[in-house]
Amino acid sequence: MNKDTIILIAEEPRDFEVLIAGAVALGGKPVAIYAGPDADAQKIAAMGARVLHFGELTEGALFADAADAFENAITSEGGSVILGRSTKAVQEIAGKLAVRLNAGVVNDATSLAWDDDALLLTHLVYGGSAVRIEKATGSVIALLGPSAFEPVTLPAGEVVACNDAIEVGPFRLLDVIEKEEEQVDLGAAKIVVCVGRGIGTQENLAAIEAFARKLGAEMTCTRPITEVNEWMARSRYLGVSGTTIKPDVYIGFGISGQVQHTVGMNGAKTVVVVNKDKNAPFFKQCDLGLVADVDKVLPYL
Amino acid sequence: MSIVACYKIVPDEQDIAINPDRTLNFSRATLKIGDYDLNAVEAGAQLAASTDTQLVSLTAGGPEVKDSKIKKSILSRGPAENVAICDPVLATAEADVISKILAAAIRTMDEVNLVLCGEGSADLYEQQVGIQLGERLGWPAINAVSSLEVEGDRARLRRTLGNEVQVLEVTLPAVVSVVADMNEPRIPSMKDILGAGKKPSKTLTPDEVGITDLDGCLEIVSTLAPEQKERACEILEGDDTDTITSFVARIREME
Repeated sequence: MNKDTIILIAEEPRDFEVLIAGAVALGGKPVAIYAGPDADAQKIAAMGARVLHFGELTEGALFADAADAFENAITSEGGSVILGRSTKAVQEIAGKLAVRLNAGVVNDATSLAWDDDALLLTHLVYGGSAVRIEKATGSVIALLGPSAFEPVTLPAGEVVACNDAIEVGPFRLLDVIEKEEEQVDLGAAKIVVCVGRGIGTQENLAAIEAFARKLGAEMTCTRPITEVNEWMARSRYLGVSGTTIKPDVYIGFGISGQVQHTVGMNGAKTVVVVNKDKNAPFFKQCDLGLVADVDKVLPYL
Repeated sequence: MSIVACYKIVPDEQDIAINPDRTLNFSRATLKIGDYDLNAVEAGAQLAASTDTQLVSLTAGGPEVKDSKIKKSILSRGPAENVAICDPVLATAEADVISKILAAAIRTMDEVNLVLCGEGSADLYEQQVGIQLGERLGWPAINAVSSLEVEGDRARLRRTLGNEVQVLEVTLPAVVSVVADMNEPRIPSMKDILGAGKKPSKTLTPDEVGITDLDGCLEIVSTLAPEQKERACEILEGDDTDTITSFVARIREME
């Protein structure tokens, strides 16, 4: 295992922040592999990574079409630990690289640690019911969520131009439709307010949103609020297949506290819960709870 | 030509109990077809019906793949035939080994032109099998697909990424992983369930599809219930003005 060079893969410059922090936590030098605008390559270097820059993707190419170029870069750098930001396109390229490099993949890894020459990787299994630790003694790709490691400050790295062209692959890109749904980065939020189906109505949601604005908090929700009610954007739901965050304060309204949700927020320093059901499991996992009907509480917020 | 829909049989996570030493107890856990795999099977069933092709369901796992109730359940959802690759090692195998086995099994089938996978398995949710399977077959592979149409030897699909939807076209064969909101998996009728019992189903060993090395890249060290963080658990009860105002005052102090 090469402990000195940690390879980093992400689509967007801001996604490299957590990866650089992960590389530092492992005691290795961060080497970012990046395809995109030159200015963005400079941004990644400014965060402290050495950047192998492949220029911009050819018009019509998908991110995963960079697999050949990235494979060559990883091989020539001699990296055996590859960290990626867990997005769909990175999961895709990770699968291609895993087969070629004979590497294991751990998606949504929550912690990484050396055990002599092996790397221990932690992730959640069975819908958040259990934490699994896996051991890699050869090449491994760990995909990380946005808050897996605290950001670090490093001296700027250099940008190295790589000439491998990234050609259009077997998928022909006919059209790209911009989604109107908002994209939020919840990783930076110090206070979050979270709603579940127990809030009842969209009017209550509006009142809770107003409360969140007063607190300077980000709004978040459980999966059904986005997928069943469609009241909030998908990027705002916390839980096993959504976002995982570690804010200072989490305030939840109308949420029972099923493990599928709590895995997304149990890193919060302080947890406050409002629910009318006093038997809700959340009351056993909070710092301050109020057993009351959300309707009755809202006028006082 | 045929379509293959891959699925994994998993314990229902609702039934997993936690032992005092934080290990998991599966003794009361019933088996189910992975929730996200049902979307792949449904997509396959709809495409097979509209393109007049045959759908084959394919799984790899431990002894659970021989469960007759699950076999009936999968075959009642549209596949004309079920193929299972069985070895005790496969019960805990990860995406690398599973994709190798599935690729080998698909190579033994006649003229497969489309392989469908779910977004991720319901137990491990690594979201890797579809892509790794495509890579091993040397076929184009893609994930996050939310709609799919097949015409002749071409598929047109929509893929939902963070802030955009890509509209793509590919020449088959290909491996496509679909997202959970692509469709609503059917609830089989009594007739479907009765018919499922008459459909062919075969179980093969890894050796029979040409795979002898079942070693994965990763080794499982432990699987334990998460440690509960110590919380103060101070609970106020009541929706009277005094209780609520003192609760709200406490929140204000946290800002």
